[in-house]
Amino acid sequence: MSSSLPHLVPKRALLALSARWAAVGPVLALLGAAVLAAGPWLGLGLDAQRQIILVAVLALAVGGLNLSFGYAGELALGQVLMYATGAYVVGYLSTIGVTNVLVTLPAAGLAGLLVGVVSGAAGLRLGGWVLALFSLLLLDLIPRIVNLLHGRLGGVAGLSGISRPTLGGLPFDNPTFYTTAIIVAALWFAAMRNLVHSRQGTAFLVLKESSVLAKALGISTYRTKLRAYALGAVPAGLGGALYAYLDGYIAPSVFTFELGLVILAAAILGGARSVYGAVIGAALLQLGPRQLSLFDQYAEVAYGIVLVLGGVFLSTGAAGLGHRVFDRLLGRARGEEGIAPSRQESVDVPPLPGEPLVVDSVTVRFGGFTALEDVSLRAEPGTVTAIIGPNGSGKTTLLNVVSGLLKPRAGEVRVGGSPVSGSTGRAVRHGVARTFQTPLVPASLNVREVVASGRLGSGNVTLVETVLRLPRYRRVRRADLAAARRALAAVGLSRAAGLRADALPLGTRRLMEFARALAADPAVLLLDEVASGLDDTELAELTVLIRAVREAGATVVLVEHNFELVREIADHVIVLAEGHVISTGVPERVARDEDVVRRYLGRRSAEGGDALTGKGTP
Amino acid sequence: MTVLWAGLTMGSVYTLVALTYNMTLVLTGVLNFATAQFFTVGAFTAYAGLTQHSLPLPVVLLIGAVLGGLVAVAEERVAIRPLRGHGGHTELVTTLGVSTVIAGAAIVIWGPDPLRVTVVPERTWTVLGGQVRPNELLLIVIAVVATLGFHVWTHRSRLGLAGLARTEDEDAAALRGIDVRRLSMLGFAIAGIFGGLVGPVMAQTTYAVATIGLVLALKGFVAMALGGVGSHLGALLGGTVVGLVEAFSNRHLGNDYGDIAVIVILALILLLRPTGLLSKGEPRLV
Repeated sequence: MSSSLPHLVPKRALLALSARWAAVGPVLALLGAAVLAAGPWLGLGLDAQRQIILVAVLALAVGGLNLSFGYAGELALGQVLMYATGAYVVGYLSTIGVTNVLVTLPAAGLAGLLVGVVSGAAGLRLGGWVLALFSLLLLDLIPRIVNLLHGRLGGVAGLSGISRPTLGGLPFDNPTFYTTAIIVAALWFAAMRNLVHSRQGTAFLVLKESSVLAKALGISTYRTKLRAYALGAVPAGLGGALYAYLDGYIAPSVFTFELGLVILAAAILGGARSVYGAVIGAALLQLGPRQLSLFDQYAEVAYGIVLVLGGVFLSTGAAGLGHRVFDRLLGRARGEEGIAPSRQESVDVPPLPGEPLVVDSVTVRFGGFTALEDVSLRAEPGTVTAIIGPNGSGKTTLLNVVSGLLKPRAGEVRVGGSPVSGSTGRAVRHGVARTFQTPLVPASLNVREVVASGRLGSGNVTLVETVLRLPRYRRVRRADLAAARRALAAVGLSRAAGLRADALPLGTRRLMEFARALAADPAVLLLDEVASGLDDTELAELTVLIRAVREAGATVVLVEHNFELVREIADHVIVLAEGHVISTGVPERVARDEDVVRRYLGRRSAEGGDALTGKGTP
Repeated sequence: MTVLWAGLTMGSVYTLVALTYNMTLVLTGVLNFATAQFFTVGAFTAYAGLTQHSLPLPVVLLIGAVLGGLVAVAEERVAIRPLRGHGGHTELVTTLGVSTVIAGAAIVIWGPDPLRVTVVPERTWTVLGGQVRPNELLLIVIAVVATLGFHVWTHRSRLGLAGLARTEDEDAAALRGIDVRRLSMLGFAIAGIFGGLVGPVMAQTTYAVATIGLVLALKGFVAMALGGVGSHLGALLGGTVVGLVEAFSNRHLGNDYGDIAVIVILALILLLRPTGLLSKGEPRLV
């Protein structure tokens, strides 16, 4: 129909633009930085240069906060400490005659990193608000240490006469210093952009959303948090160094809680979960209110209001606002493209060499409550083992033990003969992958990224390889995306790949979790009530899918309430009641077991239909 | 001995802040960064009431309690309730914002300089060979009594037990008929009223000054983390340790060392015993 064309055309253009944004955005940003860096030769005045340097300095500190807070979810207010460290490092180096920019700036960045690692190691033990307050407390160290080392650092009066950096013995003039500051900021944001748009960035977001999920995917939570926090300290150190060079003078009175507030407010305004938002937020604050002397008196009230309103309403800041407008125009957030899984006759699952899973006399207690008592089972490759039982009988606890989330009080879990109990890392390395009863889905990722995140536990790619996009990074990334594509096709969700994960309905989320587990090429696949919330058609497809995974060779373990499904696909059934195994065998045998019928199946049929035939009375 | 009394006095201040943190943590599940500012509200109420308008003390205490309660309830309504179910640590940002607004407002109204507040007559007594003022002794007594009171109340009263249940599992508590929203509002109200009531006495030691809120927020946090999050007796222990370490380090090592010593102790506790001294369980409150 011609009437729909006018609004279709811009929509299609937008879609094309959106698809290319990932490639075009960084190029535009680099072009912008290049034009900015050439400012002095395009007639930019000294005062304007100074203001832009201050924006760059603030943006560097904000960028670091975005990495640890916006992406990894750890709010640290100690950016000022790293900033001050960078400033005092170049200040001190200048007093002993070291001014070579290729020495001083890396030294400032490394010093920031060091402070980040040391302070993060303590504060991240508990994370959350403990880290936030601990890092804030550390700001108090700045005047203390500066005062104690006043001979070297100038004490309360400040350190003056910091000479401009040099290169090859030549001191920087104003335009050169200005350009250097822009280049340093551009380099950091390029590195940060490559870092967050990578499996590492996905790991940060997964961790922010759910530490349980992160662990189940084989991500070391403590190390990942520390990495984000410590890396975020580097740009703060660089920013501090540039600041020290700008005026040639620093004093403890600059590095205060108020500066921390400005950094946080800029992060919130620009959008903490964004790369370029840091620049926007820094520019808004630096070129706006910080120029007005009248503002001084009301500064704290204003920053406070920004934090309250920003926290409540603007959860994604200016950058997120842009994304939302874009999504709205495309109808993408609401998933208009149709997200129902597509029908398919056969499922294509690559070979999954399974490993035998052995649960050996496992006992789990929570306080005085025994959740599992002396539970053993053996699941073979190429078979489906179903765990059934009433609510609270310990089914999910058993899956948690197998996937390493819970450490058993006694007993052991072995995959392919290797013990894995008590360590999600070991379980993942031995090929254990799982889904959750309540799907754990990071809202901020799209479906393709969620599914690819199933592979985060494997494929070691270093930070340097990630930031520089070296061949190994690209190889692993290609493999991740290929596996995600295959897994999405297998569950029939190929067309949903580009949608936001939280736009999917519950049943579809379960399938997405299935795909995530599948993408990991699991040797042992654990499915926790994957069938609940699915309609008849979806259930039929799920049955085909689970069979295909079994044919591919994997060891499948299924926690399930739907006995009809169990009867149809399980080779072996284990019945749990109150933490004990009360029956095992083929489905038909278990269904005839009087004890099982009395304690589980019979009661279910009394409650709502005949569980044995699965024909419920509505 | 004078150093000991000084340490115990500041220790009591930190204990009181830590107790108030615990109160909102247990009943609401939120670390309220603005907790210490409830005492600031009481302190400036005392300055305005006693010094500026010469009102009788009971009236000032009443006004302080009402104002503290109102500020706290308003904070819960504006900065906490809209975030329910969002997850993450957004309440850290919003309560930090509230704290900043309160400090900023105090600067706008009363200026940045410390203001003297006299709640009980200024005297100096010699007790156990050390010099101590009546208001300092009063503060120590209040801290001990409040600790015991909160402890008994949390473990005996229906409300306190409901709070403990909520801490264990919010959804389960809601299913058992515990009104989580009402609990949250009550947690803030109690903290606010307590701060408004005790703030005037505290201000005679700390003065009424806008910047004190930040210092108290941090040292009170150290006291709570040392003693064990959620434990009232731990708050007393932690507060006392922080106060004494600070006082003795400042006296014997030099003025800059008090704060450094406190930070070092906290870092050690976080690394070696992250649950704090008196907490048995897992650090699951976060």
